[in-house]
Amino acid sequence: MPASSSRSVVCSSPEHLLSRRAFFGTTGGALLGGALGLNALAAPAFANQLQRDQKRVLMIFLNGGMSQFESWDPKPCRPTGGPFMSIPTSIPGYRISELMPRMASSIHRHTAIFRCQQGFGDHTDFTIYGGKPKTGPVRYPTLGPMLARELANPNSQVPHHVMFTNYLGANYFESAGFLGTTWNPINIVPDRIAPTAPFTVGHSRVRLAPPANSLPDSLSDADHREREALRVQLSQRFGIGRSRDGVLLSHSGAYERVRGMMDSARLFDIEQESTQMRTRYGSTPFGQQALVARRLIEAGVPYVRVNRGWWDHHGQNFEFHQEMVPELDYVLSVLLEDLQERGLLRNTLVVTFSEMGRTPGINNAQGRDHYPRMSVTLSGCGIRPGVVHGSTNDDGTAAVTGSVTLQQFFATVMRAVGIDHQKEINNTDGRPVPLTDYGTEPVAAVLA
Amino acid sequence: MSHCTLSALSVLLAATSVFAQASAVPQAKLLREVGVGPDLLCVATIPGTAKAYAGGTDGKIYLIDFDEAKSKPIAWDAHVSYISGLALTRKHLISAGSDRQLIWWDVSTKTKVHSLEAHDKKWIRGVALSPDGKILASVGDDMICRLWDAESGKLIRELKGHDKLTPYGLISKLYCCRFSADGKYLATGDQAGVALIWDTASGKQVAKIHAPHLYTSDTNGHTYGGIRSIAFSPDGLLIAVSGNLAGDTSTIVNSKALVQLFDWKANKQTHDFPIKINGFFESICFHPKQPWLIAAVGAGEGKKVFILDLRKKAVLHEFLSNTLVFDIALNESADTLIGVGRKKALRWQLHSGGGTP
Repeated sequence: MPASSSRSVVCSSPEHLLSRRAFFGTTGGALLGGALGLNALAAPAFANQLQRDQKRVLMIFLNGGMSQFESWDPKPCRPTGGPFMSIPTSIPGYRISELMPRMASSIHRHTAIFRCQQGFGDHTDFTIYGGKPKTGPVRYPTLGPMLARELANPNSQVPHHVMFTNYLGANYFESAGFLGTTWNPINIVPDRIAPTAPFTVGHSRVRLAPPANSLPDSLSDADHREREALRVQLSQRFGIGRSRDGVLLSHSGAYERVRGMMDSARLFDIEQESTQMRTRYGSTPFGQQALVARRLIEAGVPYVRVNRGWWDHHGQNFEFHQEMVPELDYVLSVLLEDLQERGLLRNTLVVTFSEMGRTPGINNAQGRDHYPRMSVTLSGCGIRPGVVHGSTNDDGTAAVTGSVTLQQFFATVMRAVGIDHQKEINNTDGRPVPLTDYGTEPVAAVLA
Repeated sequence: MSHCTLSALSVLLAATSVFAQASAVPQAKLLREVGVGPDLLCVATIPGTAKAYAGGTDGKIYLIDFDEAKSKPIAWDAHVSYISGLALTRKHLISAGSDRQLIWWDVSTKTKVHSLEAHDKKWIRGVALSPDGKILASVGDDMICRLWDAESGKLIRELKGHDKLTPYGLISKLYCCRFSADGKYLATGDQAGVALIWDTASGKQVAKIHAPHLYTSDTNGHTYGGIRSIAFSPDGLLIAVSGNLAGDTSTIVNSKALVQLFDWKANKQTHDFPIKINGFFESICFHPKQPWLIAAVGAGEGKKVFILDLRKKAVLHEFLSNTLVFDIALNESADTLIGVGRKKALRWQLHSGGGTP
């Protein structure tokens, strides 16, 4: 468990914050600054509890911005509603798009919905930064590395953080920022295949595993382990007196993760699954990646993100959503069923999230444009299922109740998996930075 | 979408000489433009009049009189979602929608005569009426074309042959259907760029055309495109299919609207009209008296109608539509063209002009 300080044991009054910052800035800064120094502020009991519980998060990120109208907040028979109808769900009084029949019938079991989640009106990684600046004096981490760091089992050899992508649009990569590169994801992105006439666009070859997660033929496993032992020996010698060097720690950690990943190569191999299970997840790249993600979650990877794009349908919005929403409905429902059957859902939080939603207005190209509000879901661990939080007006042009900020969303996710969302982590210069802004409250209504 | 509502007789008479004569220089004059609230997706002309029915995204059917300068269209609630197809028989107006309903209307009273869920709880994408007015064809996202008795609504037969999934494993769509001028054949077109030609009487599939340029999977994992409109040439020898040559799929920027023609019996492509205009050719229509194919741009940024010269294999004429056009129909004498689209309905007079270009 990474070292950290917990705001739960420290008064959060501005006066105390000021005095603590003053302390770090003077006498204590040199001693406590840097990642390793944070061990002194760790809360062992809390950390051990998290490790025991083996909480995990699986995020399905809908890159490009899925339409809330064609999914979780439909407005049929309204000028903004588009052609799709709504259907009743297993939550009394709540209707979703007809494109999601599987989730409609089972949504009460595991899932809560934020109908009015703050997003951003453009394609940026703003939302996974929780609205924090990407650049500036503090290199804030995105959500994934924070969760990975807090949930990681230090004794585990599996990766901390894995991200899949099945398209070639903007990826919004996770960034560990001041947490250190150890917490960055292993990004598994597709190959680009050059366009062939007559098409003006290329195709992609989706990957289900890192491109080089096995040894070359010229190197045996024994040789590799001997080399690793030698590297550790040299690294430890070099590390004497450099125990607070974050770069060195990240460097060593990366080697260990590579070794662990090669040992975990079978985790990425869906051929290890039965034909029945592979069929169950479907033949689409998204479905296959979801199956690998489940395997990783089962093996203890604390944070897995599967990107499904590209939802940016300024044109032909309904045609694309008609194709993609049923796939999401299918894969998400199968994933939840599978996790439930394996007893994993009580410790795994499954999130659907994005960077934005789509406009109520329908444009000339039968598309919907960017909109800074979306609908997202939380399923499984720590969630009170069947809660629909927030509401919009008849045309979906404004939130009526229950708007959720990005920081509230982060706090809710963290609390659902047992992380103190106000916990402070020291920045590289020793200043404490809370996981979510001071004073942020999770949305209690959706928490179990 | 519905179709050019030409009478069988006029088409057959005209078809005999279509490709033999030289192309005249066409002219299109806008006669009237009628604004409506919603987008209009389909049209059925009323023979012998300057009127037409149009189906809206608000679920209403609009009766539009292009001769009445200031009259508002008469509208009535017909479906609870988008209306995707209209066909006018001697007795009834038949409408189809994404609410899955196929509805027969008494237009004098605007009351529902008969309705049914035609496509296994899936969207209905379009309808077509046989030239003799006896058979209605409907296509839907169950990937089946169904033939109905146009007056009684009794199912005659199902035409199954389109794949339910695209080659990329995602659900496909059956977008359009159209009868040949003599009614012997019916053509259907799907998202994967496959057109099937059926013998109307027997229901047997007699040909399969693949127009791969109208379909792709892009860098973002989208399967994209599809045959959005289909038509037989007046002599029945050619099949035209239309849609979009993929560009940036999410915005339709840098894309080309595309029409391709095939000698369907020989399974051979004969014409290729890629037009750089950022949109789809949502509706196409052969002119019965000239070697022209009329193609309207919908669902994009290009607000134009094109007249394509089949003899020279080139654009013969193009004119602004001032809106996106989702469906077009010629009147029975083929001298006026009605287009419906983005919040408008338009009527043009078509002149064959004089001489050759």
